[in-house]
Amino acid sequence: MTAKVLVVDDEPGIVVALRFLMEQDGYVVATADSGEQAMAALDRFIPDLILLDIMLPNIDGFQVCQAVRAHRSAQSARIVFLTAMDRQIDMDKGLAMGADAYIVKPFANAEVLDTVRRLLSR
Amino acid sequence: MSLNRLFRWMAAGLLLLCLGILAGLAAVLRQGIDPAQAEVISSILHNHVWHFIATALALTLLVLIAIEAIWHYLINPVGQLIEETTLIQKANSSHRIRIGGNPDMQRLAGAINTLAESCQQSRDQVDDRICQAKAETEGEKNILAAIVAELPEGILICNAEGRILLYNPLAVTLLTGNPGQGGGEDRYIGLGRSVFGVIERHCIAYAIDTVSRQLENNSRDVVVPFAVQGGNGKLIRVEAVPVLDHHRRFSGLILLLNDISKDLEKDLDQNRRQRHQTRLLRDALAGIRAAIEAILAYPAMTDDQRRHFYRIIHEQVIKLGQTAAADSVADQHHWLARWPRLPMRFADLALTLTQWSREKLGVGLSPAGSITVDAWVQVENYSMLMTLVYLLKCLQEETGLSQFNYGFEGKTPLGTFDLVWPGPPVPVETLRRWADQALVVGEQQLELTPGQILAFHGSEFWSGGLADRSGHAFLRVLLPTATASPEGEVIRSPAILPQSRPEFYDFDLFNQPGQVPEVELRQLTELSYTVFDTETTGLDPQNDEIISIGAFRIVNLRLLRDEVFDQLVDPRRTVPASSTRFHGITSDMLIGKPPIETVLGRFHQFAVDTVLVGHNVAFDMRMLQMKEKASGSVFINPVLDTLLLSAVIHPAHGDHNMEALARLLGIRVVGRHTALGDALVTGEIFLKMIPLLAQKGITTLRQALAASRKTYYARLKY
Repeated sequence: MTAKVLVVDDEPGIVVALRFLMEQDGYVVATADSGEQAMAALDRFIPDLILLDIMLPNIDGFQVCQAVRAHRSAQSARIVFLTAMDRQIDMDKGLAMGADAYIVKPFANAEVLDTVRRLLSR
Repeated sequence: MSLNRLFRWMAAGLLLLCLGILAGLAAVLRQGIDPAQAEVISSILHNHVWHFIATALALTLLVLIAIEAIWHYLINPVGQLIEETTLIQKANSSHRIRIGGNPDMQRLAGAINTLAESCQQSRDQVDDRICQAKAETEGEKNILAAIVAELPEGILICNAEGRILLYNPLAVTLLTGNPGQGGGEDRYIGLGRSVFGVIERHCIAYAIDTVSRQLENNSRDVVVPFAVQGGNGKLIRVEAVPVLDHHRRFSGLILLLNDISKDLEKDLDQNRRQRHQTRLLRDALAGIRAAIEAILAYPAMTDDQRRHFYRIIHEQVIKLGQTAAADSVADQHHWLARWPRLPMRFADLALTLTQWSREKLGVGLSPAGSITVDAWVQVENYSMLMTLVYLLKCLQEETGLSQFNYGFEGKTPLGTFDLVWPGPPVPVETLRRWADQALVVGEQQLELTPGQILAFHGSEFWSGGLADRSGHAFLRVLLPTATASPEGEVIRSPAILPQSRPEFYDFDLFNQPGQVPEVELRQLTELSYTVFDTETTGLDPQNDEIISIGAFRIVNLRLLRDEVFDQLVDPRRTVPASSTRFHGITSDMLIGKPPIETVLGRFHQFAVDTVLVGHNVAFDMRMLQMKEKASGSVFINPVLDTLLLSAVIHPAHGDHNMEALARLLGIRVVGRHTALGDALVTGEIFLKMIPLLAQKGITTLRQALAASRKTYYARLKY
């Protein structure tokens, strides 16, 4: 079954690039440009993996992560933080919050692809 | 004319008179007798000439013995009485007269002693009352002195002539590089010393000129900043604030000193980084822009060319990403370095947190699970403790619990402090609300939010469920960890109020008259002195060497025990055992010490603009002179010798050695036959001598030098 990837980022350029990348690799992709949209999408989309920015307006990526982990249907989704927050403590916090991977922007497409493939192959 | 001299003249006169009378009698008799009688007398004289000579000698001896006895029993005791009564009055009120002589003189001495005893008791009572009255004022002065000593800025105050009136230990460290003994190798700060010894004259002149112009223009801002090179190559920012008298005339400068070396280095470093970053940014953007514009402008370019431009864009973007990552780390370090943090044992932090939680919140805190026992954290103690207590308060309100466990793992660079409780974790949005709220615990409030305080520490906090899924949750706060002894931190000891008047300020010096070209015309009470002593390998200036120099300064009649010169010297030969028995210095103790050429240069600087004082100082000065050529240090200071001065003050006393003088003047001898110990005793002796010299009409340096030259001991040469 084709894996489903949810891309959450408020930067349109990044959303376009990531969508293109994921679709090229054969995944079904949905996007959201805010934390609220992302949480609303969980019910209808139920992603296998979420590429999640942290610094979103209003509801940030940490809150979305916590909401995913508490969601009855989506709680087992893999979460990859894709963020400009590059401090070690941000990474520690992100992984402690329940993320499966943490990639700092600007990212290499190959790194994102490898991480997605690795996490979805488990 | 003194009594002794008068007696001598009278005795000589009397003797001559007797001889004159005898000669006259002989002449008269000779004229009144006839030749036959003269013949008989001549024959008698000739036959008994030796009897007559012996009788004459015996009579002369008897007369001299009588004169000596009169002098010893009547005249000398009077002179002694005068000297010792003056000593009691001027220098040593506990001294009591013990003289020989006739019983009446001894009874007079006894009466004077009784009077002295009674005067001393009265004086002691008055002194006690004065002391009590002054205690409060002194206490305030001492608090001021302690505050000045502990200021985080160096402070130095000088009068209009540049003489130092006040300084604190930090000023010494900043300007000389040596926190102890008032100075570094060739720079000294001390009361009465010239500020030009540590700050370039033209800088002070510039400050004075600028201040004068600002005052003339009635400017409100009269602070003049400038920078100078301090000790150990530091760059020191100096702010000069003028001191005006009540006529608004310039009377001195307050110099505030700060070490800006580190800050300057950091700012320069950041500036360099920013310029580098801007250059990289511009280069990368230029490359990207050129490539994109080429692609857009030439849609017909070949695929290879297009791919080449794409590669260029890709490479430049990667470079930008690397630059951004590096700058982010550097900025963090730069920013965190400014937040005041000190190392603290985690155990102490936990203890205080437990106490505060109990007292302020009624919340119990117990250690549980893994705790790194000997860990150190580096935090701003008060704000971090308040933050942790505040988070406990929030947890208490959120969970309804009053008992929490805690654990700590001292990982580097951030340790993990966990508060644990049974229940679900705290939602992220709740944590964010806590982070942004005002930090209020009971009646205590901080201006910063918990989020800001944690950010200033480079810290974070979050909540989650425990991995063992026991139904427990945690609130984790990251705490920066530290080693126990950080490098470069300034150790701040407690400020101890001095018992006696501290020696780093003397505002009396403000009003001292200016330097007179002729130092010899100045009053002894106004001059500054360097009291010194040397220890040597022997007593031969030609062949022996100096092995120790000890010195103190006297300024404004105060012996400054904090401004000390105490240096052992490598004589470049062995120290004879006979010499070691005297002063205790062995050859081993001198290994690695600087040679005399170096030490003399430093001593020369220490003693600049002072009168040199020593006991039997002719020997010490000869030793110094023998090394003038080799060291390049020529001591042209005026020199006073307490041995000679004692002979001036107490000519009747036979013993002018240091111990006898100290006993006479009521001074305790400590460290005898050490250079520093002897210098100290000499200094105290000298201070007692000044009023005694004044009693003899000797008040200026010239008078003291002239009187010294006339004593017998001045004939001693080395």
